[in-house]
Amino acid sequence: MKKLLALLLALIMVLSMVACGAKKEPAADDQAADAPAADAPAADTPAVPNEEDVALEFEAVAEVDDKFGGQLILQTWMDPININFYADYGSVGCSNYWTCGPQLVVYKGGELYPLLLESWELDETGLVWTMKIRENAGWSDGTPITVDDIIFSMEYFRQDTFTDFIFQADTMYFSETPVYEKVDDHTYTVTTTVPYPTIFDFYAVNCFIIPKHVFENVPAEEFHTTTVNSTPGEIVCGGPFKITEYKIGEYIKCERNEYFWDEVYLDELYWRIAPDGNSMFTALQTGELDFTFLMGSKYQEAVDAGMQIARTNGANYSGISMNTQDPILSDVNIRKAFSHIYDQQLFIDQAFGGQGEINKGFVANMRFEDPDACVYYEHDVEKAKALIEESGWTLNADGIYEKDGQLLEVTYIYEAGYDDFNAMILQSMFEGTGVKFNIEGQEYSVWLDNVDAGNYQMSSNYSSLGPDPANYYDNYLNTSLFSFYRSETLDQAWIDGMTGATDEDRQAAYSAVQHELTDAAVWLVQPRNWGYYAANQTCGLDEAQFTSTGMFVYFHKLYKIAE
Amino acid sequence: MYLFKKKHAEIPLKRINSAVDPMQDDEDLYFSAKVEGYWTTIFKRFCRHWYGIAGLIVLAALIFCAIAAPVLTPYEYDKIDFSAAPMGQPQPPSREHLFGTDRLGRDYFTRCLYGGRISLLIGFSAVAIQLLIGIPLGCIAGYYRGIADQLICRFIDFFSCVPSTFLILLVNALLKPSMFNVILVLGVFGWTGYTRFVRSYFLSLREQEFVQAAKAAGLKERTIVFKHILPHTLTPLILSVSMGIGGAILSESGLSYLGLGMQEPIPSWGAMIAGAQEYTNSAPWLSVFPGLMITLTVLSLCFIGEAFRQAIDPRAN
Amino acid sequence: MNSGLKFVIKRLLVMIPLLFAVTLASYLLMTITPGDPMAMYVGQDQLRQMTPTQKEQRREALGLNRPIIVRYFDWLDDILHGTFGTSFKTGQPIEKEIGQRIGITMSLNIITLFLTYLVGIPLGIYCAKHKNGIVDNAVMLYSYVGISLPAFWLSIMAITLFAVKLKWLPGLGLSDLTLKNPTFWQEVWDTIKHLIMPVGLTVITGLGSMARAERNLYLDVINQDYVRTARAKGLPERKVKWGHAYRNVMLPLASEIGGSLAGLIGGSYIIETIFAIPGLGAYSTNAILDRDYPVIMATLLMSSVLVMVGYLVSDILYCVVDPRIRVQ
Repeated sequence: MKKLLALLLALIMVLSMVACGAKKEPAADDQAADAPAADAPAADTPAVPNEEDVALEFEAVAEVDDKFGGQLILQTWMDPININFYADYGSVGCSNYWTCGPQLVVYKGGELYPLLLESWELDETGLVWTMKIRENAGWSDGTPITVDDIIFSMEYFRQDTFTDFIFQADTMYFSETPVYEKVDDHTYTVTTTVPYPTIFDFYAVNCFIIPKHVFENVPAEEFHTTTVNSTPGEIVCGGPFKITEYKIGEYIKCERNEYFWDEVYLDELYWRIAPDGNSMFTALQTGELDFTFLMGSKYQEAVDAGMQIARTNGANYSGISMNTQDPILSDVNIRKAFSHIYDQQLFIDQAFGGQGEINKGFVANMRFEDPDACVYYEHDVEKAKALIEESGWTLNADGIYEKDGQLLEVTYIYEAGYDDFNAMILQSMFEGTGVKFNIEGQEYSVWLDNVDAGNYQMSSNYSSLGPDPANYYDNYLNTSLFSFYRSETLDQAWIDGMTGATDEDRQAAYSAVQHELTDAAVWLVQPRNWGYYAANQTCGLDEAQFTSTGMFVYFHKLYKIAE
Repeated sequence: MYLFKKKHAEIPLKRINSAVDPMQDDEDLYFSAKVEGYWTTIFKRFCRHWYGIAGLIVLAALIFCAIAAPVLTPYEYDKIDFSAAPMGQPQPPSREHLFGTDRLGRDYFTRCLYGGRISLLIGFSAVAIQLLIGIPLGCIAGYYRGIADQLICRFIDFFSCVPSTFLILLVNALLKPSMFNVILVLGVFGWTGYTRFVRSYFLSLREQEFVQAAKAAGLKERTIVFKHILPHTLTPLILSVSMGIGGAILSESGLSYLGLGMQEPIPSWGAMIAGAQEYTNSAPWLSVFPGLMITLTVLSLCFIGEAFRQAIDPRAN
Repeated sequence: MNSGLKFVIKRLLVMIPLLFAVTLASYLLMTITPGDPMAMYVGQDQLRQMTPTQKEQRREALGLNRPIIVRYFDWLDDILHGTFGTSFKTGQPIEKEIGQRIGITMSLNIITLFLTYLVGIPLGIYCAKHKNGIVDNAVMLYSYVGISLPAFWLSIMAITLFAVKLKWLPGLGLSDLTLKNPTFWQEVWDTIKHLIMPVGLTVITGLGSMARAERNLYLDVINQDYVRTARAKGLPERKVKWGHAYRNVMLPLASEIGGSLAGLIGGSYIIETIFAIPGLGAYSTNAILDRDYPVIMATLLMSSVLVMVGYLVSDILYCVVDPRIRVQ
């Protein structure tokens, strides 16, 4: 009897849990295609894809007559900090912003794609941009998107409470405040006293347009915590989708925004919250996810499972800083020698599993990239030794270089728990070269402090910024990120790059920047790590234009291939 | 219960105890020329349980492997060998590498052995600290009563009313991760059980006749406590101790799994499992072996403790 | 039950200074940590891009500049007014975040407990009745196996086997998003499917211990005086058995509740993270890993309260169920 009671109680528990999670589903097509699973045994040495083998784009997998309808499940790393995604600080908010917020333009491979912003024109003085936005764009509650919203957003985020660079982007990239003026409901001008070439980088990466009619009465201090515009289903969205449901820790459900300026194929788009990289891949295999970032070690498995795979060219700059203020490392010969000792190909093989390419330039995925202007240090230990000996170091009895009683010994600090393997690979590269290479893992905040204060000899250093090199100027000024290397010519070149009137002017300036930085061996340039994204065969991703940052240009052009 | 451990007293007591203890073997009822010691009896009883023997053998093997690790394998635990892991892909078990290699080409068998060193060391040390703190406190509280007892009881309450798992995590996260810190934290948060145990034993034992006799004989209190009463509490503690060591090993592997325990390149079974998560499908041996080792170690400790408990007090079954 | 009431009140009174001590100690402990706490709440890129004045402003906004004791009492003040503060990482009120997650963790724990009971108690009684038999010994050994298996290892192995290789069960989350307009029973089945592994693993490893504890309890009680007395007094066998059975269920429950309530906060972290279930365990442990101080303090407080309440409830249940204990 008591067993029955217990059983009943357990049943009640399950039912109540389910009741908590009951969701209302609108009628839609019926499909639940399983990813084809061809379990091939893992080879001892997996096939390493060549540069040409893996596409940079997703191709069409099937002919589909009617692309409308259906749902896709994408993946995101964490819960949105604020479901009112405009107020989100960044990680998930960004991906939600791109699908639910009005995005003006997007960069893909250096080319600018118009989205909400239809066309732009620079006048003869080169100081006034005339911008035109689409006329049929509307917020999800039916209100048309007009220039008023744009101008309101610009002014709103210039208020002092917004100390984050994300929101102050247009003043942080640029020394003065551009003047925005409305011409009519769909046209406006941006006026500056010096050329403003980075305006589109701002629009493409960090620009947030918020609906004026929703936020005009929200004071700036309350913006991040306001509950206005936080009820799923009522959130005003300006992108191809609107948020209709949010189950914490599980998923965010977005539905088609009928007022979007273009046709939206999908009925629904889910963002599944999956914080663990391994469970993401599992979910992809079982069909619970349709599209996700793929960890390099899973590449072969994904291939064997017959998934669609596209490749990105990797994060932006990844270099190992060598503190030029350190007595040993201030000698450029030593830094060049280290660059020769560093073996990019080995690093690609061991750390990236062969999935990467040698970086002959300085920063990947940057506009105005000029590898030819850069000095490339090929892996050559003999050359390195020659350079070291040129500076007066001699090998002692232990096989380590010594000069004036001081050993050629450096310590590399890194974030413990994250960069351990890379550090160990680095250390083994320096074995037998006469350099005593120590590694030291530090806790994140400690490491950051040390790096900022210059308390280090060598340190890991990586970042991911927008494509316009103007972004890097602030990093350059924050001297630690560029190994405390400064020079007058370099300072000037950076500014020339930012203020150059034409693209040719800017290119010349940035080529000079890249040349000097590599000639001075400011960093140990690290190879580019390819990133992969994988999708099931039921995803139609070809029209959406996959970008090198793992996002899509046209989220509204994602479609579902029925089984 | 055996009241005296000295051998010369065994002979008369054996008769008495066999009358009291009906579960004892027949052979013990008779006078034997050979005097059996206390521990020999226990050991004989211990050997009746196959799992006790198995546990002992496995634990001995593990300890031996841990100590003799440098001799047992030609590899270093942190020697990176790129040729043994081409393209960063861990290699399956083979002739050269008994347990295969990890993504940096380090021999996995070696890492498991050295990981065993760490785990066993941490397990035993942490429990040693717990005993060092717990037993004296228990003795004092149980024997002297009064204010000391009250104080120590409050202390126990404080320590047991806090969420120890949570605090272990927290403290480890805040302190720099190292073996010493892990041992310290595990030791400091786990002694209450032993104190309670010892204290309750003392409370009941101090009224026994032999204590009165010792007092009457004029023995110093400290002698009474440590030489006469305490030994009786130790044997029943063994089960708790063995499970405590097992628990400490599990805690340490949990901490390392979360990244709060041992850091690279020092191997720890928990950290090895964390690193193996990426490769569960393509390189399952990376997660199977460390997990198996943890399970075997803790299990053998539990079995030893259980068999020992049964050996001391067979009636309790 | 006047003495009972006094007992409860006395325990509650003791709780308060204990809570105070625990939270103060933790707060002070967190100040020992090296490094700039701001690094945890502002991303690396952002932090580097910020000018010193902006950093100062942000630090002010986060309240990190005031002396520790002031911050502690501020926090205490907030607590007494019912708010737990805002999380550093997300900027959201903590009580809201806890509220969103507590339901799931509690349900998970309750279901696990019930299932462990369901199988464990009858199994334990069977072992007791057939003492030293094969089943009894097997269960004893099995209980040790259950606690020796590391939970994180077992979960990883289980997912790889059942979700990836065999594809019998879903690998993560609580619901299948591809279901279209599921009926009520379909949803129930879907939820059950998602829970089989997380709940199942915990139940399977904990089953042995529960059975063993129940067996010992049964044996302990079966020869007790009061049972014999009840029989001698002529109570119908059924009533004796019922009383006996009642105690068999309630006493293990009494001791489990203490541990269960305590484990609510951090206990199921491993399961929740690996199976992507949004619960309190993941929330509190992630806060520790992220050094999100307000959340840590809030969950620590909750955890301590739960532990103490758990033991209190445990003791009360013991008193209620077992008349012998009341004498104390």
